[in-house]
Amino acid sequence: MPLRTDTSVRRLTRLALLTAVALCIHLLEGQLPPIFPVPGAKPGLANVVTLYTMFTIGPGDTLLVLLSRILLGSVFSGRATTLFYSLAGGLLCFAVTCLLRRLLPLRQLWVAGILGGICHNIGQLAVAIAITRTPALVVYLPWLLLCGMGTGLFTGLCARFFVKKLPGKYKTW
Amino acid sequence: MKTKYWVMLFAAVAAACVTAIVLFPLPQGVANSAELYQNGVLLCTVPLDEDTRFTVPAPDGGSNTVAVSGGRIRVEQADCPDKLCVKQGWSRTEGYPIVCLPHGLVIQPKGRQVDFDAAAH
Amino acid sequence: MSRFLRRLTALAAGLVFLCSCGISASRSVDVQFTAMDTFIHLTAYGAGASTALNAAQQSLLALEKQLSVTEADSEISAVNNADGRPVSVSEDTAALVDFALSMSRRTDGAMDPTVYPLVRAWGFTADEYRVPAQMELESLLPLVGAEQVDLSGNTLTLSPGAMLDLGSVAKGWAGDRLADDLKQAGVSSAILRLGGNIQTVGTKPDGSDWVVGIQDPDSEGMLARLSVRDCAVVTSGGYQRAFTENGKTYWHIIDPATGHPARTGLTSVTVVAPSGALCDALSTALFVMGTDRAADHWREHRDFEAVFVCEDGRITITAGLEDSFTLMDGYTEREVTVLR
Repeated sequence: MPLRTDTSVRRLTRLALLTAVALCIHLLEGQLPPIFPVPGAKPGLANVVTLYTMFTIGPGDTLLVLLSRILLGSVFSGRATTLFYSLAGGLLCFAVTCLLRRLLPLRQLWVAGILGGICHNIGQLAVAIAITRTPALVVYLPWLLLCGMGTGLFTGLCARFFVKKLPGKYKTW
Repeated sequence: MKTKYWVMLFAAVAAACVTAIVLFPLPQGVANSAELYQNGVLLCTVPLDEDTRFTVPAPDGGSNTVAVSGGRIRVEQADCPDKLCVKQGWSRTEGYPIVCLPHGLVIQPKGRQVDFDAAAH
Repeated sequence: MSRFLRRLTALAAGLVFLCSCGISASRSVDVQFTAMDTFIHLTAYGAGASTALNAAQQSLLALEKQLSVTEADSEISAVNNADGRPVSVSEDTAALVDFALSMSRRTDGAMDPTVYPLVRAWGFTADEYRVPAQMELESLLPLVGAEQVDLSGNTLTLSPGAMLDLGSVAKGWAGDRLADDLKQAGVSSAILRLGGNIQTVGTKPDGSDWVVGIQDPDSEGMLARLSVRDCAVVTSGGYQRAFTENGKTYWHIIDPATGHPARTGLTSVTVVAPSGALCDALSTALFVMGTDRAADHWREHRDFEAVFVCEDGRITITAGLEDSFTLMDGYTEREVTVLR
């Protein structure tokens, strides 16, 4: 796989940059006021990086970037609890994107974006319900799904833009 | 899979969501009381018709200061790290519970209680 | 004016007329004042409501003058101070005393209009609470009982030392009287709140039932609500007046047979029936009887419905209330048993 022929410094730098970008997005969107009273509900815009990395580099490194971003994100924002939320949303998004990568051509990257958005929000809602033990929160599911699909479309389109414009090749393995 | 099938799939999901929203609307009733839960256990019911302020201790040693004013309720102060609960601001409807995750606190306003014509007491 | 304009004007005038009828039909009139040692709040709807309520206020104050045990110049006070001599009373008073005595017989003395000396011994009459010695209570017990009262026509005679207090039926009785007066005055929709005694006339102007809350004996809130029409709702509970001494709580509902506060595991009894006087008398009586005896009484007579709240929070209701009784939010996990 092309990955392994990269020199380790180059790879490290690339991954570090991606992590930094994801981290910035994550921290910035955390400053937004919550729209829904579902705790931890975030637009999940940082998944742009997950999508980009998944479709230009590969699942292994994507996972690295994802976990690093989540870990550092909770350290920098001082919120230990968002760890679980981010993990739930991010990992679910990762899993789905991983499964899809074989199927989607570049022009259909937005599909991955939407599906990722859906999974991201389902994951967050599930964690919120589990932690607060308020099953009633499930009433927000349709709202979250709609918003998740919206932001997912956005992230998917952005990811496609970046894949086209930035150096690196789109890979579907 | 062709693009149009994806579009149809997502359109169907969106339609299902809209249907669900229409069928199960978020409770909008203006509340006149609020129930406070901690980790799923009901702590107390607070009437919203009297301005008040009190502190709820959390199992981990922290606390949330809850304030009631003008028929609304909010978390005024919290020593949790993210203070999302404080950022949620005031709530006066059943559809807008205020949650402090780290402390497991959920403030659930309850929709308008039946307006009694009289009370036998 | 052209024909069209004239017709339009007529139509408009007609509509305005109709609308104003509708408006007066649903406009409410409220009258609030203090009487019978409690806060009275009367609400009536429709034409004539205002006049009817003002008249109601006057009759209530007049009734109070006749029946009050605390007012020195009331008829009842005259009887209580007569030291065994016969006293002539008004028809109203005689009727009420007769009713109280018949309720006393019906409930085997659980409700007793002569229980006043015992209630006074506990200090409830003057708000100077005390726990009387057993001997004191035993010396007072012989003064209590329907047989202490002799009512012949309008002449009332009490055994020496016995005392009448119609407080446990007066409000309900007054409620009945006021409701009748209002109906006679043409009012078909009203709700009368005599303290915690509720009397309803008809339904709300839109035809829906009145919503009456039942207080939670242990807190300030309502634990349930009843949908009622054209009837009275009266609650008796220890919580209404009680004091604590040496860790024990004593309340004002005294068992006439023992002289002690009635402890049957109940914290409140709410009675629903067309007659306020019946509700008033029974709510006290059933509290003293306890759930089992009360259930038997209900099965025997079936002219009322009731809600019983126990110390442990359990609630029992009679079958007739099954459709109109609803637990409030926060109480929905309470166990409710339906008596049949």
